[in-house]
Amino acid sequence: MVFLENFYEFLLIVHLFATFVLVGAMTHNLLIVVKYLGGKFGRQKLEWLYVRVSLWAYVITYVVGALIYPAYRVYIRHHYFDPELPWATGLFEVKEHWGAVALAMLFVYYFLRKNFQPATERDKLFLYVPLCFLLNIVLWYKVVVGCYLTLLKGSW
Amino acid sequence: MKKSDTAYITGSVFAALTALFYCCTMWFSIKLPRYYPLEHSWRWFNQKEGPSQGWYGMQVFAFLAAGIVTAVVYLGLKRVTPADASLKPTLTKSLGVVVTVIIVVCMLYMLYHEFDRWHIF
Repeated sequence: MVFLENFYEFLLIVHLFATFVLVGAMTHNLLIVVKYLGGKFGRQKLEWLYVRVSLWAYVITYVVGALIYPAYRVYIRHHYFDPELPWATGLFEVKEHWGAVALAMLFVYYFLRKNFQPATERDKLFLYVPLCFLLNIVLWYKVVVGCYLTLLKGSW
Repeated sequence: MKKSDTAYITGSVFAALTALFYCCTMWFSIKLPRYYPLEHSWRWFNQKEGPSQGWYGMQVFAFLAAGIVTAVVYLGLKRVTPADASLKPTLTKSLGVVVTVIIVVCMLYMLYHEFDRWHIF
């Protein structure tokens, strides 16, 4: 019996729903942050709310993902992807590496936003805006690849 | 130094170093604890038989190493810089660009590493 094997499908659904919240919050955050580049700072409170929601959603997604990883590793990757579809494992591994780096990026993103005002400290947007773009790239990659791999084999 | 400037510098250091240290585990094949899900055990070596998970160890290594260096930088800033000092705009912008470039390069390397390993290219 692999760790949390009996709860795999339930946890996978929780992982999926937390991802919906995360990607929704982060994408809306990007839409506001892009306007900062044009000097429009009208929705800062909403943007800060999206940052906080994103952080919590990411932490939940990440912890649940880490909990179901052993069952995935044995029953899906080891039994199916590695021997039959090695390219699928490659896509998944990139998702995990980028996910780990994105966790650090999101903590930094939150920490930066908590400590600066975009309208008055525009120099700091030189890090804040690229981080927002990179986080969205990672999250959308994770969503697309995660859903695609689940279509190939989501359970056993 | 202003609180927002300290946050900017330490955040930059942590983000860039986490990506770099994570890549170091690939570049130098650093031996880290691996979890063996079928045996419910942790080992320091990569046993070829049976599935194992090195991802947890890689993350902990990257976060810890980056966290330690960031803490040192934070303490250094506290001691060396005067309380009313502020980060110059040019330096702020340059730091943002450098950190972004480091993260992007590391992410591209991770992509290359896995795509090459699993023969996707």
